[in-house]
Amino acid sequence: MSEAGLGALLIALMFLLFAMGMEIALAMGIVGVLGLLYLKGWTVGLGVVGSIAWSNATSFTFVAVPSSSS
Amino acid sequence: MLDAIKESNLEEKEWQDAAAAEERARKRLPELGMTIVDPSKDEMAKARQIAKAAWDIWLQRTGPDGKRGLELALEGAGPVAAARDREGVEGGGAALGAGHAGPGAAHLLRRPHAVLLQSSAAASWTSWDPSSCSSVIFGAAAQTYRVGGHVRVDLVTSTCRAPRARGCAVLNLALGLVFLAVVIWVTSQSALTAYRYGRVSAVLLYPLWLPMLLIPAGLLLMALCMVGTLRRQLRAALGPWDRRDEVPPSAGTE
Repeated sequence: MSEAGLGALLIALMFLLFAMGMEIALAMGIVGVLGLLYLKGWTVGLGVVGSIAWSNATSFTFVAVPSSSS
Repeated sequence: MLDAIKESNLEEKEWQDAAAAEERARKRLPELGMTIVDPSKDEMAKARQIAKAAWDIWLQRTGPDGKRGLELALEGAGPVAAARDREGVEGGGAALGAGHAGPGAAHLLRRPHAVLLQSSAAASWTSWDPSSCSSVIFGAAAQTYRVGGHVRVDLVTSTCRAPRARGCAVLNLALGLVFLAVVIWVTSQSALTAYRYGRVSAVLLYPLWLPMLLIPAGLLLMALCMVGTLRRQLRAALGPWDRRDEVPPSAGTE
């Protein structure tokens, strides 16, 4: 399958998961992981998942998130 | 493959590129109003002595693998340090880079001035790196899930009949749990690797495995909440017909 075809398929899957009522974060994560595993294989794909989680979590912007809403 | 690498002469080219880049920087930085200061022998000796404690801790944690890695890094640093000695730069930033960085020495050898900058920031404590602690945000994932704070679209499921919405909810929870299990596994492995190899933050040099562990820990809490919801959802699915609807994430809100 071409990369463009895979992208279209995964985007369609993402909207299907949205329609099923899945949380947006989980739906996008699942689709992203599937794409990475298909394109890069298990070893690299899973490695990238770990590094993406870390690099996105350690955003300087998040430092401003308040600790309490009360 | 090794023969092909030798033929390509890549390492030699990389060193030449690094030397050319440094030469350009040494010309350009004064033009931009900066002063380049090469550390004296005394400063270098002091930096090596301070860095040695970090080397020892790192070698203790990494064992024979770390020892071998360090030997390789120092072996790679040899020609550069020797060349700098010949140039009269007294060992230069390269040796300091190896001393300061431990596991990342080979990489930092290409950026001696960046290493010096990091060393001075760490010594003065005037700069800190809080962003790597922002992974604490994952600690809130479970509570956000419990109060229904994760954004989702219920435009379609709200118009479905209860059994269909219930089926979607079970499927969503099962898929979500599989996904979380994968992410928890890989992020735990990353934290474990950081612990084994003594990775530290860029400036304050605190152990990176601590903030890294917050990601799988927070996601594990969220997964446990989802397991509870899945159990209640399955119970509802097997219960009376009129109660076979989608259950809320938290039992207290039913």
